[in-house]
Amino acid sequence: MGNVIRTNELTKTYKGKAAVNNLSLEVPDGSIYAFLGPNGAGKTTTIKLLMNILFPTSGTAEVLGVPSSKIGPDQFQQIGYVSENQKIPGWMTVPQLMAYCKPMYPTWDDAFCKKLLAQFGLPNDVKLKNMSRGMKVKAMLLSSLAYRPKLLVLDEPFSGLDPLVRDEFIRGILELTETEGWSVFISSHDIDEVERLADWVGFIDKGTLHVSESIESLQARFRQIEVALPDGFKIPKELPKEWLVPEQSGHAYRFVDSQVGNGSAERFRSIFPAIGNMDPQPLSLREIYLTLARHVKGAAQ
Amino acid sequence: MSLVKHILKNDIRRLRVFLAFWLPVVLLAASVNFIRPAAGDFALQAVQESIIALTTFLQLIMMALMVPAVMHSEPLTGTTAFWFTRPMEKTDIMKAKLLFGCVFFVVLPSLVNTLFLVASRVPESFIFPMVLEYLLRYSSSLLLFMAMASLTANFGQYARVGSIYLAIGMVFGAIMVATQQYDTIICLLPGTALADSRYLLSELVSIAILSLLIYTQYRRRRTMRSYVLLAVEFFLALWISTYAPWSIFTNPVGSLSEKQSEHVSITVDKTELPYARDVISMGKVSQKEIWGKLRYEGLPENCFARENQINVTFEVDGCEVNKCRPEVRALGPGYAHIEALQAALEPLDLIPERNHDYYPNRLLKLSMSDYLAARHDAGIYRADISFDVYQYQRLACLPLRAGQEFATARARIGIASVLAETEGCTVIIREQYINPLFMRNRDPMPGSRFLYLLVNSETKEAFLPERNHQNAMRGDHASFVVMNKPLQFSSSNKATYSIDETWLENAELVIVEAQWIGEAHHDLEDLTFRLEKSPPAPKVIPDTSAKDNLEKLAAIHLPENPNRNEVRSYIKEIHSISATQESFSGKDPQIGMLLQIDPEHLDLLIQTVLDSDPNYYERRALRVLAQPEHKDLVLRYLFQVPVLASAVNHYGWQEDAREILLEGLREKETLPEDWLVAVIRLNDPTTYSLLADFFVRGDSFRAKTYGAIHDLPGIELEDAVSKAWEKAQIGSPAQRCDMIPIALAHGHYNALAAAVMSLSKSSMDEPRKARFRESIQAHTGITGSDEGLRAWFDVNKDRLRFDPETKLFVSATEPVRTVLLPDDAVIEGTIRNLRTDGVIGYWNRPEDHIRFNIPELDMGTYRITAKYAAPAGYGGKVSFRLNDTKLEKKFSPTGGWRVSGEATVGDFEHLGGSLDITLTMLEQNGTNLVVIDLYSLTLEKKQPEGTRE
Repeated sequence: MGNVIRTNELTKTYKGKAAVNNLSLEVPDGSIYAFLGPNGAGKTTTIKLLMNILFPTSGTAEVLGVPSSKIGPDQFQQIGYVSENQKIPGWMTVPQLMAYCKPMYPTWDDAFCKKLLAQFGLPNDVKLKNMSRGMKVKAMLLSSLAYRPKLLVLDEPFSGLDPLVRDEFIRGILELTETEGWSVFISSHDIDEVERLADWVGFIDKGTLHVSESIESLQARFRQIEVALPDGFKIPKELPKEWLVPEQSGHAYRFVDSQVGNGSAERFRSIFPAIGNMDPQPLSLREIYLTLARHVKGAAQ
Repeated sequence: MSLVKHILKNDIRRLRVFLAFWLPVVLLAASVNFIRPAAGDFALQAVQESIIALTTFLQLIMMALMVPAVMHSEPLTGTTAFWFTRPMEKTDIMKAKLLFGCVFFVVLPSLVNTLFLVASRVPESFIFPMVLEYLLRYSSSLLLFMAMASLTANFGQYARVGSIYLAIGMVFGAIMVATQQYDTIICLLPGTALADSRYLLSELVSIAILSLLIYTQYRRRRTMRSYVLLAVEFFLALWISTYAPWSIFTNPVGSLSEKQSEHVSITVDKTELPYARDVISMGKVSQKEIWGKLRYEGLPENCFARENQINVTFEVDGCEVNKCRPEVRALGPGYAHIEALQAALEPLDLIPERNHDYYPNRLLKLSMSDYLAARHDAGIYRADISFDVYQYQRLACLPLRAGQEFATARARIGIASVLAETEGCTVIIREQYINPLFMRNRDPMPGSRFLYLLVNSETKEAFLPERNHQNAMRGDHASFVVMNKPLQFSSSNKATYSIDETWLENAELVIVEAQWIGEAHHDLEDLTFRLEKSPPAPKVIPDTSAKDNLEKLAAIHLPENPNRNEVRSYIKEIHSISATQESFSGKDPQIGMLLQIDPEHLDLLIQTVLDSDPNYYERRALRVLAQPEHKDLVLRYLFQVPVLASAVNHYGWQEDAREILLEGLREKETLPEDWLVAVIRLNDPTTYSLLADFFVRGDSFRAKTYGAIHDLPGIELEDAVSKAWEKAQIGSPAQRCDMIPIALAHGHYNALAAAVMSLSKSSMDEPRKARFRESIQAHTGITGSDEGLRAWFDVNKDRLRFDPETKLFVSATEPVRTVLLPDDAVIEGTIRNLRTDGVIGYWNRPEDHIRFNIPELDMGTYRITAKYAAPAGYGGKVSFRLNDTKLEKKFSPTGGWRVSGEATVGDFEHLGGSLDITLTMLEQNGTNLVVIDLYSLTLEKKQPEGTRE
């Protein structure tokens, strides 16, 4: 299976400060890749670098096998892009927007477009600038789906949407990716939105990519471990780097092991020789995300 | 191409409302030029001109708004544009935008304007160059707006960039003005080879750079680099349009030869003395400007000159006071150089207005401190002058009828209508001027290229139109608009001329062109240049004499071996103190004090009195101090200091001073007696006419002048005395009294009557009465008391006739004079006989008449005179019908309703019998419409020549 998106030490700096720093990730073909990170982490910058909207300071990126700097009309005919920041032609109605976009795409499917139009329930005679935020996003999505793109890039698409619309959106994407086999690259700062959707995840904070792997693999290696410390036991200052966000409350000592099964037992015994059982607990994607976020924040402090 | 069309259609759909306004504006801008207002409908023409200006401005504004609207639908900056992630080639978008812009903002207006040119019958050879000019102009505007829009994402940013662009341009312009780069600014005016070349080059450079900017921005979206390109375009275009030395277009080659230009000399015109004007900066006078006029001699025939550049230095006592480059004022519309125009119109007589040809130049500009240091001194003014020479040439002579037309390659002039008026007419002409950039006539313009004159070839009179701001051929370089222009010709303010119906029957409209024939360059040196006239003497207590200033005068001493500055100060102090005096005496100390000055310092005394009349002491001192070695000095300053004529007479320099003496007679209103004596001593009968003219003109010195010239052998003064007497009668009482004895001696009956009447006036001073008495006795032979003279006059007044041989008034056997008084009149209308004042007045309706009837009058030739009164602004034309004879008289103001004067109406032949006289107002005058108050009419029978009573 190939990669629809691949970056290699992709970097973008503004006035000496790195917005994206040596980012290397791969998005497998046919996957739904959730690109997570807090606000200002570099998600949108990364997407703009991929879409050739911004030019990298160093490093490379490839989209659909083509260097991002060379992405042109041929590639954009296979890419659907929806972004919360994108300016839409507000003076157009939905049919006018479709008529505007249609000639650009040889694979435009009118029937599919009509189906989606009905499914999204968008009005025909209202100008886009007079529509609600949710309707605008739907209209943008419609204009990006009607030509059956191979790659769908969604940058914070749920931002500002109410739960109902959000739910419709997610179900819609799931249905389409199942039936069409599209790849989806979706960025968000809200794990709950993408947890149902994604099968791959990448976590970025302060321009640095900390994690990029399948959810299955991620969830397999992250475990929360809690132990009861004997009296007088002193926790060593140097802990294994795989142990994240350790915290102690009285005799209870808790941490998250990010590499369970990979020498994790030996590491445990080296620190807690007198304690026999680890009792690792699985973590949800949200918990893993929070762990990573706290870990990065703690490291920064 | 399909995507290009798709984007273009989208843009048209999006901007359809704008386009719905744009198209009518373009059509209106062109079609308004088709309007042909009726001749005389200047209100419509004013509306037309306003619409032309408005639509030009509106087109620019609409372009400035619509271009960014087109461009910002697919913006090139930012990261959120919709099209960034759509399969749209940037070059396709660029092509679509350029196509939209070119079609709607370049091709469409150019096409519409071209159609207008064709419809306006513009010659084909001009149409193509004009189309090029349209394309250039519209393209550069379009590309500038597109460039700015390509650098911005929305209208707010675009407006900011545009405002900064504009603001920097204005700051640059303000700096140029503040640093007084006036010659640079003048070169920016279109029409010269250099200015047009700069304009063309800067437009081409702008188009090239802006095109590159737009292409770069579409290809690479490097916005910061594109801003740099915009800045480069701005400064490069600005520099080229202002300072570039390259000339693509050629300057015209004049026909003025080197020999002709060498023959020209330039002097500062001292008849129009320089005057100072304040330059105020930040509420203070920071500098002084000295304004004056230059006189050109030796120009080719029918030519005049206009300065285009002057570099000056000004030295006082060897020190350069200031060096500056004064401006040269462009001559305004309606300018006509009277002298050159008169020569071009020979044998016609030009009836000018004085203010047609006076345009001063700024001769010097000084800091305030330099001015104060040098203001009372004369210095050496040197100027390096470049000037253009123009020659008046008659182009055409059109019969005065609507529809007459004259055309050159570049101009079409036609008569739209002719409106006759009471004392003149208004001719409305249509003008069309064709002058595109690539075929421009780049002759320097003298303000008005064409002058229009109303001419009558029978009377040989030529009138310039009344001065107004519309009297210039519009020089709009590419307007092609046909405009009506009124030319108002009037004789109502020209006393001895009359444009009436008869006159107009033989009138024509003459078109004269001021053709540029070349440029020349000369130096000027004026050794006695003064910054201003001396300030007026302070008015203090009247009747002050030297006795009141003895103490001050005693404090003034001339040092031993004084230097020039000390002498100058000495003279000025005496001058200042004496300025307070109202009376002078030969025994006053000032004469002796001034005579202490060494004659070698005579020039300093002359300089002190250059700009004001020398006082009594200075006149005496000048006479004494002038020595034979001062001949050159005296002759140099003679014109400005006429009292030096005494030295001329004393040393017999009349021949050397001949030209100056004669010029003084021509130009000056007052002259000392010595001057007249000097002219007389030329013993040249050809000077008599000048002496006579001076006598007529010089209101205040007639008695002296007459005394000096009346017995010159062969001099004829009858005509001069008549004119002078007529002027004096409506002049001041002193002028009238001066002339009474003179007019009496030349047989003017009313002078005799005035003299006799004055004898009984208590207000008349005794010396005057004595002169009158003497004159009466000399020319009547009657002696006796004043009462006796009066009684004799009352009895004989109707019979008195002047015998030119005996110079006596003698009583004829028959009455020779009939006087008609208000009580003799039959009045029709609302005119009133004001019996208590003895005058007919309130004559303010043209349908009213004054009639007299003399039942029986002998056959003969009669002269009719009227005694009347009219204040300033009144007077006017009255018709006199005497049976079948019609006379007209234009009455000039006498100075007030109670100031009477007499005017000769004319002579008429009466066949005997009854005489009906009807007076009718011909000219409505002012808001009150009153013409004159009439005191009396006198009919005096003229003695046939060769007969004696």
